[in-house]
Amino acid sequence: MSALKVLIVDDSLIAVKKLTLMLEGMGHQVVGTAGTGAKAVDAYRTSNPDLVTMDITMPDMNGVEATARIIGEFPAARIIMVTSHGQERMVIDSLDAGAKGYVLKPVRVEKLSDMIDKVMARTT
Amino acid sequence: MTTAFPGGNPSDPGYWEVIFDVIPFPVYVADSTTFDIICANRAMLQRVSVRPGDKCYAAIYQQPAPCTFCKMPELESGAACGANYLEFEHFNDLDDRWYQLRETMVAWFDGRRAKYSIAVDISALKEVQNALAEAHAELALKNRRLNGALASEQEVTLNQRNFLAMVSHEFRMPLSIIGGAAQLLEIYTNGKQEAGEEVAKIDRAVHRMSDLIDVCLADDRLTSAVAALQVRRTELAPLVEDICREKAELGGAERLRLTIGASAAAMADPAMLRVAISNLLDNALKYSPAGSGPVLVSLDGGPAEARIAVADHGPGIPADEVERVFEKFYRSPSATGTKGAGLGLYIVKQIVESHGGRVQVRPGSSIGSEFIITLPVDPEPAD
Repeated sequence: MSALKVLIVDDSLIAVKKLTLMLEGMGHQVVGTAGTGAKAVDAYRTSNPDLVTMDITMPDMNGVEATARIIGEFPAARIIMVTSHGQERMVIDSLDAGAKGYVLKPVRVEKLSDMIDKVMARTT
Repeated sequence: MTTAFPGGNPSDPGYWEVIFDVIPFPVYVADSTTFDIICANRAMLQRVSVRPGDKCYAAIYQQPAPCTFCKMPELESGAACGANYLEFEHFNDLDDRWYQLRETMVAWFDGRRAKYSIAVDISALKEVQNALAEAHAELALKNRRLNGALASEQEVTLNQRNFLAMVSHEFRMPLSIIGGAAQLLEIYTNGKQEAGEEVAKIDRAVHRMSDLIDVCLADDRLTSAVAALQVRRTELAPLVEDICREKAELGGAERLRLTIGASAAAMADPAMLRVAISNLLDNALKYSPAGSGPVLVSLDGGPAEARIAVADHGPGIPADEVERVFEKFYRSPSATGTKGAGLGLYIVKQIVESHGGRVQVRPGSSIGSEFIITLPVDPEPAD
């Protein structure tokens, strides 16, 4: 797969660092990061990424709402929820909001890579 | 409200160290106002290097500011209404582990308000829970996709039916006009043979077209009927006898011979089964030349299966067409002398299979072809 431009949305700096390492290890380019849901929408506008990894629990606006906002503005946005919420309801809500996939924490490189492949295969 | 440190003597600073160090889970105490770490137990120090005076968010969670998930404000407000602890699950991005945290607001021995936090590693439990939740979510999503597929399939079916009904209706009208005009033309021919033959051709073509519309609609109705099969225990001998009697009345008794070996009953929709058996008999009569001997019908019941066979005196079915004759709209290239839409045997197969049975053809029979319906027997009800 060719290198993707990725936006990471997570309020945990450690999580951002880890995801960055994983994504760069796969050959992708992290074009932006955001620590809140509201910033995520702005960051999407400015970085125009191929893919977003989105945390669910964040201050101000949660990831499900941020996903809905981004999809509202950019219907073709590819968003993967990267979340510690294991509840199926949360996963379904995210997908209803327009997310294309999800990965539960702890994130493993293979799980993330598989999900990216799936999402890209479904949407390209 | 804050509570005194449990079981300890607030004036003895060494007492808490002993208590905390025997706890096998990581424990730390932090000032609720300044976030300064006051102390940490042995289990905590084995995981992360913290010193008194370090900021808890920086030393433990490597955050530049108080953590977004910090429960200190909540604990303070909880303490105000009488609850001095919170229990919650937390995923630690630093070590990729799940913890159950119990955080309690206490009055520290030196008078400061402090929070002490005990962390129990529940990663193994969460792994199972997450796997389960993931499986549930996958299942829910698959279910949703299937429902979507089912809905669109139902829509397609409905559209097909509507189309079929519309086309049938639209075709019948001009056909009846052509048929009516042909009848008039026949009168105008005044007995002229050549003209009469041409008019007869039109008439036959109109009938063929009309029959074709009938079978198409019958197939559509079959789909609904099979879906709403009304099965009940049905004695097969009286049913087969009745069908043979009906056919004999129309085609001549000498053209059919029925042999009943053993009686049997099956769970069946008698009306639908009648359609299937009648179809086989009609075919057998149609393909057996006049004077070729009776069509042989037989019923045999075994312990598990009942067998209804219909053997004709027709040309037989080539071996390479044995599988294909039951296909929808299939007509044998050799069946040029008889009319049909290629739906009869397809309908037979659909009905028989909806009863849990099967239908086969034996092409190599010495007298013609032999069609055999096999149905599961419904055992005698125990009294």
